[in-house]
Amino acid sequence: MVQDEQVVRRYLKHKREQDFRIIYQKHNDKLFRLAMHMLSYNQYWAKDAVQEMWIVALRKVDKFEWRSSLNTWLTSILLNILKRYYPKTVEKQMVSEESYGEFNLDMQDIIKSVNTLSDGYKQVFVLHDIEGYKHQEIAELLDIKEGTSKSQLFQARKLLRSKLSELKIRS
Amino acid sequence: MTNENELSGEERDLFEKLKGIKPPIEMEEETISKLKAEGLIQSQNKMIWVYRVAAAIAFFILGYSVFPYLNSNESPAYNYMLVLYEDANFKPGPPEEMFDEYSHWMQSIYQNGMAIDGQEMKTSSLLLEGKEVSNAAAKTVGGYFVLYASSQEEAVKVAQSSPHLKYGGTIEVKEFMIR
Repeated sequence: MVQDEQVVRRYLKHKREQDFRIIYQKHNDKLFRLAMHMLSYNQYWAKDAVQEMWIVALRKVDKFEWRSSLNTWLTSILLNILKRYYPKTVEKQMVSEESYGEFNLDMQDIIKSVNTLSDGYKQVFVLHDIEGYKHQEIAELLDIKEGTSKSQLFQARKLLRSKLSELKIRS
Repeated sequence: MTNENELSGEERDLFEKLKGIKPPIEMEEETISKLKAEGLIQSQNKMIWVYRVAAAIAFFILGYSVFPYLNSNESPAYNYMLVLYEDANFKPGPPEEMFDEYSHWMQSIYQNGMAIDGQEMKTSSLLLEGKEVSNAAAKTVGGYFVLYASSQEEAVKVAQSSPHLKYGGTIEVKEFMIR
């Protein structure tokens, strides 16, 4: 298990590439996945957003007080970036069809279904059911009440089930 | 939330597939370049660590010199040295096995967040005493590792996990004098 705090303190001391790589390799996949889900599976936007997140994170990491895990802190930065800089759902959905082609057919039904969710439902669904965050953590990350997180997950799962069964019937 | 809303095993398996989404392979190097351009990572003149570790391991077996210098004391990259002695009890194993073992060991140390380098040395050496030069060193040094540990205890733990002890070698843990 990589000890984030030890590596980050060493990064702050030397700004060495190899220390950043340890942190990057541990956390980047999860953050990239979140960006992909929230940006209609557009790889270019997701990559840009996550790279922007790393820039912001390294600028601020000396102020990070380790009250949460590093991953939670990085996720909160990424969610802010996604909220502030990236286009609204309608525009995102316009480009999603070509993005689906990047995935195998098996995955396409799932991601198409996830992509029909509104941003609010999608965030809670992805954070809880895919990335394993607890409702309390999601509430803090998204600045919502724990009950809201639970009810949004309830609605998200309901809509996803309906969408997935609709796609199954069509095929 | 009702039980009906809980995910079934089938649904969990389905959503698990979404974890298969991976970043493009070039993303790591692109990110490093951007961070260097922003001045958030120092450019390295030396080989990147993967090459350094791989080279160190290869040369640990083959006995060539690859790391002729350490970083300056102004910003120490390492603060402990593990000196590896090979005396009568040292019984090296087959080179391939040692290669795999040292490779796995160094990578696991690095992945656990600790900077580490190493170098094998020829077992012969010259001893200078006053004007006398002989080859009668009291102990045979087979190589060293340098690392950055948070305490002597941590450096000792790393030394204890080294394959060198398994082969009957002994290790001296030396702390750098950093002024």
